[in-house]
Amino acid sequence: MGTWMNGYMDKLAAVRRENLEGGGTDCLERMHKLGKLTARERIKRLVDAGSFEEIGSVVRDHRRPFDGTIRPSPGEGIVMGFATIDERPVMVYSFDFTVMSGSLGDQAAWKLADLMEMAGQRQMPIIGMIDSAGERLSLKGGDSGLNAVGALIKNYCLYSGVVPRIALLLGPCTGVFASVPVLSDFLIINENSGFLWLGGAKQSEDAGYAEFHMENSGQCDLIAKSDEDAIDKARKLLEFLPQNCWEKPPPGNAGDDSERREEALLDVMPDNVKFTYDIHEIIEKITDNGEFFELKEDFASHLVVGFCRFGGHVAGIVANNPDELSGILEPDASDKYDRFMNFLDAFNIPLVTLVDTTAFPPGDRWERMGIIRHGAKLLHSYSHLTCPKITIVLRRAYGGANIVLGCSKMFPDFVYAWPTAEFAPTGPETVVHAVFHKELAKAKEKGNYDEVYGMLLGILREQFSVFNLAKNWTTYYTAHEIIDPRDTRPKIIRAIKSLAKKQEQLPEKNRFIKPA
Amino acid sequence: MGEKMNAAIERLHDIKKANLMGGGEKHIQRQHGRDKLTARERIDCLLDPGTFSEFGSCVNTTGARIDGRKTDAPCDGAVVGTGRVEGRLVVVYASDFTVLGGSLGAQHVVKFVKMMEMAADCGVPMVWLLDSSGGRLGYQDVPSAGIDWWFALQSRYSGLTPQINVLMGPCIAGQAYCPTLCDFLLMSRKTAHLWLGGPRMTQAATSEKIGDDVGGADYHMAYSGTCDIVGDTDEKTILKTRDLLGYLPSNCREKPPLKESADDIGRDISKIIDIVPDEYDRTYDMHDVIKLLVDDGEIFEIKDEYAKNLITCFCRFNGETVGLVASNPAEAGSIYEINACDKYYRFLQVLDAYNIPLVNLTDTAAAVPGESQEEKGLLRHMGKILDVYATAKIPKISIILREAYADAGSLIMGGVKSMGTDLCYAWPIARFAVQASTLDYCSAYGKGIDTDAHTGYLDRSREKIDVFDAAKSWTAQVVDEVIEPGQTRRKIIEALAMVRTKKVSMPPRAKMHSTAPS
Repeated sequence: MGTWMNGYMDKLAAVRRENLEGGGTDCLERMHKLGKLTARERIKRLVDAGSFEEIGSVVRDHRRPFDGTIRPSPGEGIVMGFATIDERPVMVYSFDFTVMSGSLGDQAAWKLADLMEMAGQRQMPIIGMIDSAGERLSLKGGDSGLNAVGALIKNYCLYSGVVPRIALLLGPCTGVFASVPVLSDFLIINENSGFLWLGGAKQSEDAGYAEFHMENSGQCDLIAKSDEDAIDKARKLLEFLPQNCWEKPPPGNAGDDSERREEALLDVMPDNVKFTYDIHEIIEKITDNGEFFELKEDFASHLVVGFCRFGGHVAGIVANNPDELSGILEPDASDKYDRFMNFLDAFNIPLVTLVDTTAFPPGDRWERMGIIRHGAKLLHSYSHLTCPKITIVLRRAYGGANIVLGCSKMFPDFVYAWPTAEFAPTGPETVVHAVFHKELAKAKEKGNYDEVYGMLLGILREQFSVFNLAKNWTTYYTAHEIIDPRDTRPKIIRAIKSLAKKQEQLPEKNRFIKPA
Repeated sequence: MGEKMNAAIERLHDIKKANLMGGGEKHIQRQHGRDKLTARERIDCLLDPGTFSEFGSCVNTTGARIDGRKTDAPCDGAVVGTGRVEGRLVVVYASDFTVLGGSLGAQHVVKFVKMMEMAADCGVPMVWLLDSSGGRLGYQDVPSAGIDWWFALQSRYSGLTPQINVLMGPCIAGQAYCPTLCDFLLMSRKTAHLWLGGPRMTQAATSEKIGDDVGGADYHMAYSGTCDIVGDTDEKTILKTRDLLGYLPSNCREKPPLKESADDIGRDISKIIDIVPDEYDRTYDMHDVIKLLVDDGEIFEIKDEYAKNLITCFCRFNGETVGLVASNPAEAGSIYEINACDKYYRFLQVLDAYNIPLVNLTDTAAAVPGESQEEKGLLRHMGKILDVYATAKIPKISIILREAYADAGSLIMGGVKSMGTDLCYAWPIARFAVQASTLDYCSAYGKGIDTDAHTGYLDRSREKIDVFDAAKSWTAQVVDEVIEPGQTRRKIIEALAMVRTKKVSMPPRAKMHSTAPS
């Protein structure tokens, strides 16, 4: 190597050195003091050792400093490139908080806009680790940051439903870019540092942090205890996801008997139908090794959603939880379900619904929130699913709730019912009061109210039982088969296997018009 | 003609004659007494005279009550057929409230679902004239009425041909999903009620007594965001439906019909600068601007009493239908507020489904929604509309009147061209910024943010940039041209001509939909 080349090599080495220092060595220490990993440490933990190929590391914020002070800006605050996770190719970006508090600059935004397109075109998941105090974008005097952020959001949306998009919030995220974690298919927030905010007035202390977005806004899928925990969760999550919408999730080793009968399933439900139980007890008895990767656990917890495996095949479970609010569906539960089922369908992952619900609640409070359009949204989305769909009716399948969870003519592939299943427009007690109010009033006068009420309720209970309704193949209150609860697991696994090559077509159109 | 034919024709006439009386004179009088029209009067009101052609007029109920009692139900309470509106074919369904309260018997449901199927297959709009007490509870055939089949098909046909629902009576429980699944819901102020559970059912289920105001047209307009248009009476509401159909194509393969207009392209609109103050903090009503710009000052507004800071309406430029979405400075609030997002989200889907160009008139408030909105998931609702705007293939044209700030809504109002805006015109007083937010993150978050972050670099995104600075740079590429306000109408018409044959492709997806937030 001659001196000519040497000079250039020194230059490159200087760039590399700068890159490793981020915003400066004191900044890196500050990160550790805050209990955070640095941008590069995060990538190192996320991807397979030695697999990270960085691009755009030479980029700098070359604009005239806003306040006259020049600050280091290696990579313009974004470390990004391609890598592998468990040998699967992925695109990765990581905000460098040591560079101007991780704020998003013009060139950084263009880097991300292009990375999102690359991930889409190359059909691989994109994982972002966000830690950014805000934006330093502009459109002044030739700056193109505003357009960069538009391009970034547009590209991210164009590949929605094409590749999985995961965001980890390991610090703040504000301004226009705050839409990105929420547009992502999954958002994991570090409970110590994660903060998501558009930019309006903030009143309470906890607003914007992990719990706030988990419990109130419904925008957080998983809460992590630390950066390490968040990254491990992202790796675990990725095991359930395919590379893109054309492929299947990686096959797993079931490690569990597909034909396993579960005696204990007979003991979960209480003897009185008015009493509740925890749906997790059923889920854990039917999935591979009892594993269930639950999402949005503390948002609308009366509806449980998450990933699991059945005989090694990845599936999504959506289940009412009678233990919480009697397993009703309302606007929050609807939004939770809607998002999850659309994800499953986009990537053709089987949907298994476990039904035990008293339906959507009526009344002024709920109507104001648009309870009807939220129910309609679910009908709309379920009707458009073409992924494998399996419905298991456990006990109560009342009202609109039964329909949105996949009853017979909503085009599920299989509807199985436990012998305890009961279908009704609403609870049988309510039907008696609403329909036979005249008869009941008369009976009250006559003094034989209990007898008449009991008789009518008895008739309806009989009529609403799956043993009566399943005699009809065409009614919407029906099951394709009544199953022994102990066989639930083998039935689901056999159903999933039988649907491996299913084709289902929808009419061609520009787009559908989904209720808001 | 022989005896047999004669008798058979006689029989047909008898059925048709009886059908005209529905559930009988007494019920018709009661219907009129409630200020309601009958099913057939409504159909006459909707259609061009003499164009109604009925199907299934011989249908009657096949069910009986669970106590065994049998009843007569002409048409099973569902009058269906085809007809014309301004000469264009529509499929129509009217529930006959005089027949068992217009309730859903098994035949009733199959009748309209089959009509729905025909409308979708043949590319014809479907209009529902709904006035029904809901499921025919207490009847043996009720559970097999198949409302799941109905909703599944109605959903799958969504975006194929326009589905318009005119509600002029009660609509309860499961049935309540029907109007909500339609593209547009019109409600008669006098007669319409939409509830998930009616007063009796609500009381039986939750012990709550709900008042008369709950579930009416104005209620669903103002609070729930479910109603699109309110009419004073049955007749006025139905007539609005005729107007609405004039803005829509018959199906997703066509464009909306052109309407000849004598309104001049170059008409003098110079008084527009008297409407819009050049002091940014002074407000004005955007309706005045819109009415000045569009053909003959005619607009057809959707959800006019919901999220009023965002106007969504149909109108025409040089005869061509557009969907116009404008911020309204006369009303407080950011267009990123949840209700405004939902309103825009629905409307934009309709435009993209039916090939109707989008025109934005943009003047965003310098305001960012705060905690009460964040708490309810502001960002995901914003995400819904970002997703639709970014992926809509229709022409997207924008006029920036005064202010365009990305975090206050300009991203979805044509103020950021890279989001997919075809043409962006800006007035000479326009100004731009990435953020309207004034929140100080050093105190709101802290945790390691540089103490000089705002003054040092963050406030760069909060600088309000003059349009001439933005327009100077083509890399910023926000503004295609700075225009005089008086040219706005002409420029929109020119732009529409430019994008008329626009065709863009998108990355292929395995399924029809994205994984946008809910």
